[in-house]
Amino acid sequence: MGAGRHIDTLGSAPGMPVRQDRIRQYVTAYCGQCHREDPDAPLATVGRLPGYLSEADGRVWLVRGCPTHGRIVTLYDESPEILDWLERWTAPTKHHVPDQAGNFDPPPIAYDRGLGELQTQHTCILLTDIVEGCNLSCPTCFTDSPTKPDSVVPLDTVLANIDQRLARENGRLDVVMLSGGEPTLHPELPRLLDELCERDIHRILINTNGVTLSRDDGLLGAISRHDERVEVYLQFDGLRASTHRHHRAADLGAIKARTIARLSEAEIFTTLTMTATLGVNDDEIGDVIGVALANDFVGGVSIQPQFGSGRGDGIDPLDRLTHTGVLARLADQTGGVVTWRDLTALPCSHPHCASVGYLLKTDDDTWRSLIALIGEDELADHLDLVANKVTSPELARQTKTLVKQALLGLLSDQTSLSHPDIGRAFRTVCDSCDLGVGALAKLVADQARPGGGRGRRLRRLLAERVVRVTVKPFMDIDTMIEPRLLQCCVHVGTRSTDGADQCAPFCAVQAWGPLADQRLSSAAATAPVGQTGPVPVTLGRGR
Amino acid sequence: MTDPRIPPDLLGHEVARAARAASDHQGPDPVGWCVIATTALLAWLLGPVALAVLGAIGLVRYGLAWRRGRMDSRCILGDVRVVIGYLAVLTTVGIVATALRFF
Repeated sequence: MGAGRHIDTLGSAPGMPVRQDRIRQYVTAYCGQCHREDPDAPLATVGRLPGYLSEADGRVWLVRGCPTHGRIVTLYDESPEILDWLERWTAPTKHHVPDQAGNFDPPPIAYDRGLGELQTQHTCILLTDIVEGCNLSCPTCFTDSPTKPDSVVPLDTVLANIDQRLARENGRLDVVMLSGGEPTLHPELPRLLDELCERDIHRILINTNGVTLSRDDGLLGAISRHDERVEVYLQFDGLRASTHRHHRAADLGAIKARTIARLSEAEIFTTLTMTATLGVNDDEIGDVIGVALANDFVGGVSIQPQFGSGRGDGIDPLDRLTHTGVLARLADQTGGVVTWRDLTALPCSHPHCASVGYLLKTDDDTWRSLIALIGEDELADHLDLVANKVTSPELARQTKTLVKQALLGLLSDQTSLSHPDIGRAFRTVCDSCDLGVGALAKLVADQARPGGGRGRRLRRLLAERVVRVTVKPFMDIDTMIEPRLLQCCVHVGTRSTDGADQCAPFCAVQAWGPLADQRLSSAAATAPVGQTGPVPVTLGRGR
Repeated sequence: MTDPRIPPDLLGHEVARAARAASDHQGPDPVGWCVIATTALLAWLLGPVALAVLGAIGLVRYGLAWRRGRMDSRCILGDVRVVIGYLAVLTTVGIVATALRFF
């Protein structure tokens, strides 16, 4: 009897079998099939579905149950191991002021009235759509921007929305990102930059395809005037013509190269933003990082796996490029210069929402990551330090001072970048959410100003020797989970149907039609572009 | 029609059971006995070396599990610290026996 029992135990046990998947986290999610049938359905009718993230066959899947379509399974992330790593890096979030007090509606209907009471993170990045139209017609555009002459958002409308956000952020915004459409088509962009620089905004980013900047000296000069505050996020998907054609419907290689050269010459910090798609350009991630390492003032690379909002549909929900998939590809494609262990989750956002790593050129001209230089345990200790003390303004001020001193020491000609004190620089990632190399430069310049021209020299040194790599996986309806919406810190300025200035999480605005209609460029645009409107572009190499 | 790329266990008990049944059409897979027999083979061929090596692997794996916060094990000894102690003894015995045999 005993032997038979043992055989049963080792083969097929009586009772229910053990699940072969591992449930990582219970979530609320949404049904892609319902959404595709009616993407503009009223938000109140969007089903919030119970579900979970589960690990099986070496991948992470999002499983939820829809009353209409039954069990819905989609790929969430490619590497459970790397997701475990990212989930190590968390830090406290900051308080926010809801756009309407008493708004306890759940996502997504809550966002109809702006940020709700239960949002758990403030606005780190306010994305403001200032133009509806674009001078390209990208097949994968997530905002589905039209190429026909369209409307711009009046300056006072843009400023009213930003000022409302400033008021709700206690008078200070970390980052304002100008987007669209193509924001460089806004006829009053230089004046807008002047206005924004008069406000307490740490960084202003221009999210552009670079076509206008490749030839408009006036606009380049307007940006250059504010180069301590204004940076450019330049779409740059890869080097192959086929990549450009897939994402942008034209070979833009020559235009991109010219734009990068002009921005570097003007000493404007630039981040290359790469839309990466499985089977299209997921093998060019290393090449894009290589461009950043090779060009001064290209201070960063932001790799964004393509997501299926706007015109970006057609993605296979069971086999797609994901956050951890990008991270897993880094080592092979960069010859080991960057590996996934060189990036951590951006500590203040949801750990699945962004990862960041800093690369530093050492005195012997080799690139090493911050985390490799100081060690992950020490970095974790730094984060704990910040996490425990961030609530004290005095201690936060002291931390900032330490960072400045560390950077000054780090960037002095006498000090090697491999000095352990460089770890202190990482603290500002928590303190300033989306710290770019330009911000680091400003930090240095502020400290160095009493000494005269040293700030510019240090700024150039930083431009040559620091590159930031981020991976930013935006959610579409197939990967959307409520915890990430609630902790989202990238908010799009919106205007409610009754004219109230507010904002909502980026991924929610891109996914749900009624929220997309509240973007400033959709809701408030009135003035035609007219003479400045869509710039005729000669596409192709050899211009 | 369910996409075959979705792991069966994510599709509910009935689908998972059917998938297992499809792969186990000759009956349940007594894979555990294969593992045990292979372990016995290694022990027979390698003697104390097998004990030292397998004990050391177990020791390292349990050590890592402890560092990552695991307190309990499905092992009959229960507490991970006790299991680590047990494996340490096995490894030591294996090393000593190997030394006595070969040196």
